[in-house]
Amino acid sequence: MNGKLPESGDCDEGVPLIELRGLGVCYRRQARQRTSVRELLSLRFSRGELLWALRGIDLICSEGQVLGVVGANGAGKSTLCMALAHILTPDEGEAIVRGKVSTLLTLGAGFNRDLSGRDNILLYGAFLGIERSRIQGLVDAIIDFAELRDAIEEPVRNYSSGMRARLAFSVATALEPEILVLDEVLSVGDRAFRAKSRARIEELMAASKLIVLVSHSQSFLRSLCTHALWLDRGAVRQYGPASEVLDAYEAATDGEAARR
Amino acid sequence: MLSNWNNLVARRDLLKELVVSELRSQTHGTLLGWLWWLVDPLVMMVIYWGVVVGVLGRGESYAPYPIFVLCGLLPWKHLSYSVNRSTTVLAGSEGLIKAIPFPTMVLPLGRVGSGFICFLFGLAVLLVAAAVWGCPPSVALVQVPGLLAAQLLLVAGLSLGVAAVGVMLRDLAVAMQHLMRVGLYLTPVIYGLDMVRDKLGEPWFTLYLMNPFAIVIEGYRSAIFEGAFMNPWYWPVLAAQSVAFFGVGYAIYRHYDRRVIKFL
Repeated sequence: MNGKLPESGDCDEGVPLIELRGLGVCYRRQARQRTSVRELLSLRFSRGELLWALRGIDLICSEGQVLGVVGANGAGKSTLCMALAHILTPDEGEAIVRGKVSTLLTLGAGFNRDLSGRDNILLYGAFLGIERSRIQGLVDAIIDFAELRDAIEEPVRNYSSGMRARLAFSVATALEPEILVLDEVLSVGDRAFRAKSRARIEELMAASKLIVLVSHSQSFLRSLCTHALWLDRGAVRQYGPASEVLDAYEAATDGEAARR
Repeated sequence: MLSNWNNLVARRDLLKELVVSELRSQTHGTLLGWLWWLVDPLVMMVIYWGVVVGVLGRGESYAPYPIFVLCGLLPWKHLSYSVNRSTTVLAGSEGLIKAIPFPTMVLPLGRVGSGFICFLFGLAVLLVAAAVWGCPPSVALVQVPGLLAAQLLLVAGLSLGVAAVGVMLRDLAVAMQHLMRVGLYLTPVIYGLDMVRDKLGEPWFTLYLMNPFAIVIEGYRSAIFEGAFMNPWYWPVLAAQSVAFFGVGYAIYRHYDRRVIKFL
């Protein structure tokens, strides 16, 4: 099945939203985080073997798909998300993504702890590429959704980690994206907020044209995905209808667990 | 996301927001706020004034010495602040860089920008102090916009270069602090360019002028302290140096751009 693209049934019309052609992303394994003076002078930091996190990935996804990505730790799932979001630039091949991508990869990394929650909404929004005029109109809705009306003028330094996560989630999901990439971020805040964030994600999923989900929860993927992609050591092991791929993946991992 | 020109232009709002939030967070929770940025050059000014004029009894040709030395200390502060902050800014923003697509070059540029705003604030204070102390504003101040542009390009170029290399070479952050300290004494900050010319003689002096900050500081001194125009030949040299520094710094950053994230 490696690299083969099965016809994805009824939603294969029109231009695909995601088109990966021989995508490869490599890291350099470093013995130590060190660079010798000679390397520095030659302007080539070339020590250490290449490690391909992803290689030879061909993938075509069209509008209407909900793609679940499964695979063992280190299979390249997060790297794939970063490549889809244009955080990483491919070292090989190309990653064509048509449409505005929104990512929920790590929440709240961009906060400036000394600034108020309100200032951080503007800053985080700017990082996400939301226009200034647009974010200003969204501020109130974001504050209300995060349930932080009372604390919004306080510096984020004084927030609990749950409050910070709520704020980040609310900014990151304020706009409805065309393509949504989610990497294991579906449990944010306390129980009540978790239900609310789940509902918001379902809303976003309904509004967006294409969703890529990374999760280790099989039941969650089964309930949502139309298609699934099984990554194995940086290559596509299987890609197709969700139930088919997830069955195969479960069978393989169960077998492995039994052998251990 | 790569830091190419199109992406930078598309994200200019982000750069603005970064500069503003940097300025806001610096003054957060302090009583004196922005004034703290002035304290460092002012303390240095008092120290050098005390040593050069008070203890050594020199600097009579540079009177009023406080104005003379501040013309050098303020732009130098912009440089050392921006460069020192830029060497660690990418490593310090790892979570952000790995979670959100944006041209990472805005991070060091934001440091340069916020330092520049603080510098402008210091420059305003200097102009008032100079007027009070017997260096009234003159037509020579028309040189200032050109000097500001050159300074901005030079500082941005250096900061971009050290930001990219600093990710791969963590020693650079420490090394730069020392280099900046050495640079302060190698650049005519506490002494004048005329003294260098007398001591070195023509051929070596030409080499000395390869340090673009020597010309920048000479420019501020001529505009504010002397109320005269500096040697017109310095302008093409400074322009070439500014463009070259910025170009090389930008090229270094672009060269390592896609690799930066993998080293974090």
